[in-house]
Amino acid sequence: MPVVDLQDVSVRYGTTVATTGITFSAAAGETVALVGANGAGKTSTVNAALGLIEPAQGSVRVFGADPRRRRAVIALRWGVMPQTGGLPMGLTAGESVQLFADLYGRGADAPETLQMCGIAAVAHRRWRQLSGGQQQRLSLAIALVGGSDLLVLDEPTAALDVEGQEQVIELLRGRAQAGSTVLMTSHRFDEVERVADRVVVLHRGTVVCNDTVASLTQARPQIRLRGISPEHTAALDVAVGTRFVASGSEIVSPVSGGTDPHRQLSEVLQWCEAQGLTATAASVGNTSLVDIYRELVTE
Amino acid sequence: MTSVRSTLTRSELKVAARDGEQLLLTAGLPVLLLVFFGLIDVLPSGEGDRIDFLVPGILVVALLGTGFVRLAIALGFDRAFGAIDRYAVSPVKVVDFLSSRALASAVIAVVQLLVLTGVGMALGWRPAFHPGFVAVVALALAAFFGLGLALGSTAEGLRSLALANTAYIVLLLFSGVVFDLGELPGGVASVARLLPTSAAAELLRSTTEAASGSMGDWLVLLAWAIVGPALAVRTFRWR
Repeated sequence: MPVVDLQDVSVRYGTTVATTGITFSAAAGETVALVGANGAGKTSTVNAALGLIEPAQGSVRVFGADPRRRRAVIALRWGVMPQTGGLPMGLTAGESVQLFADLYGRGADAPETLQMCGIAAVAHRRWRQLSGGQQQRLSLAIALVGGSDLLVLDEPTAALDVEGQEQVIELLRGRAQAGSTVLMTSHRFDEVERVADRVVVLHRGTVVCNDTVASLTQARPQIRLRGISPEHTAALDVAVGTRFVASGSEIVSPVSGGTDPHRQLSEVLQWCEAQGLTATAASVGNTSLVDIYRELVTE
Repeated sequence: MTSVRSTLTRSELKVAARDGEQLLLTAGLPVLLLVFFGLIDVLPSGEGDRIDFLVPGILVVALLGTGFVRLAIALGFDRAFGAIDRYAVSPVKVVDFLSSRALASAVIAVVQLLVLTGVGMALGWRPAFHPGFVAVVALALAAFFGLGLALGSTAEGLRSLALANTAYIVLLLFSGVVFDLGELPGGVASVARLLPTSAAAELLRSTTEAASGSMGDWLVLLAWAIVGPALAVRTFRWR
């Protein structure tokens, strides 16, 4: 039985359609990332999974039960970090974490969690006295003192600096290794690639891809060239049969199924040499998630 | 009491103790009103001793401030600032959430009653308590809790603040808590007698003078004590 199971879920706000026919599941111990641009429907999907929104259509099951009907029982098994959400105004960060730890019967874990999330030094401050990054760490701490069977995290690193992002990634990996199921949203593909087992790509409220990160990236080798201007890609595509696009300081092209990627790279380099162009770096590697995402949403 | 409810009640009391503005409203204002109108005779209080009329009325002001206004504003602001969202994904049940807020307010109300009784006695009040006094306080608090939570569930942030304070002032003026209802025009007085504050004030006056109070006032207060909590449960939404 999947820990989280959404079948054909559509969410509407009045006449506005947020998501249509969302179907995916998260198995026990799996880390599933919902990715997509702002407004793609990630938070609506998470809120439906948490039972905060009643779907206009479809079914939601968490631990086999409807979270809208069995929320108080299911919630004992999950820890949640909503994208937004404050705390009772009069409580300090430390008291807030202690409060939620107590509500889950895990009061003793609060001090260690504050330490682990890097907010022990500001535990005496109230929510509104914390910076955006500290608020996010506090939200994460509250999620971590919750139930440990399922972690639901909506944009867990959105307001964090690089160091904070790394800490969160390590924390999530640790939880996943300890057996927790993780459902997270993100628009940081590098982070997703490092943490998630499965990625569900949302685009304009629908699922355009639902696959494991490994099969997505490894099954699609890619040629990467540095030092060749994107203005040459059209001629290169015609000559060699590639589909180069600019990606940062590189141009990259997926390798078609059945084609030997190293042979194709060799053809590309020969063409460059014939045109008097010099690639400063050339490689064959796995396609990055961000390139796969770009492909998916522009198809 | 479940451990969830006691955890939430303790937390709510901590928040209440740190909220200076709310403390001023719930604790300071009734004491100020009692001392002011106890020392200066500017309001018509009907027949009998002015302090015997005034203290029970001020007790109702205190119960209304704590039970209705404080709860409505606190819940409205918790909703506006997203604190309710956090509870919405926690194992907290609606009944535990609402009852913990009511329990915390009940604790504050008991402290207020003790302080106001002490101040009233210092001003010459000599109550003779009827056993029904406790029931009046309990029913009044139930009614005010319910109405406050219902308002906090339907109005967020500043809207809850504005509506709760407006209702507070209107109830102060039309409930015979600081001046006799008989001073109001006949029709208005008849309607005002149906308010929970009017019934509570009349019953507190009776039950602090060793009397049981009128059946009509008991029925009015009992009705509000049922309607208020029912409204709170009906209107409450996590989102």
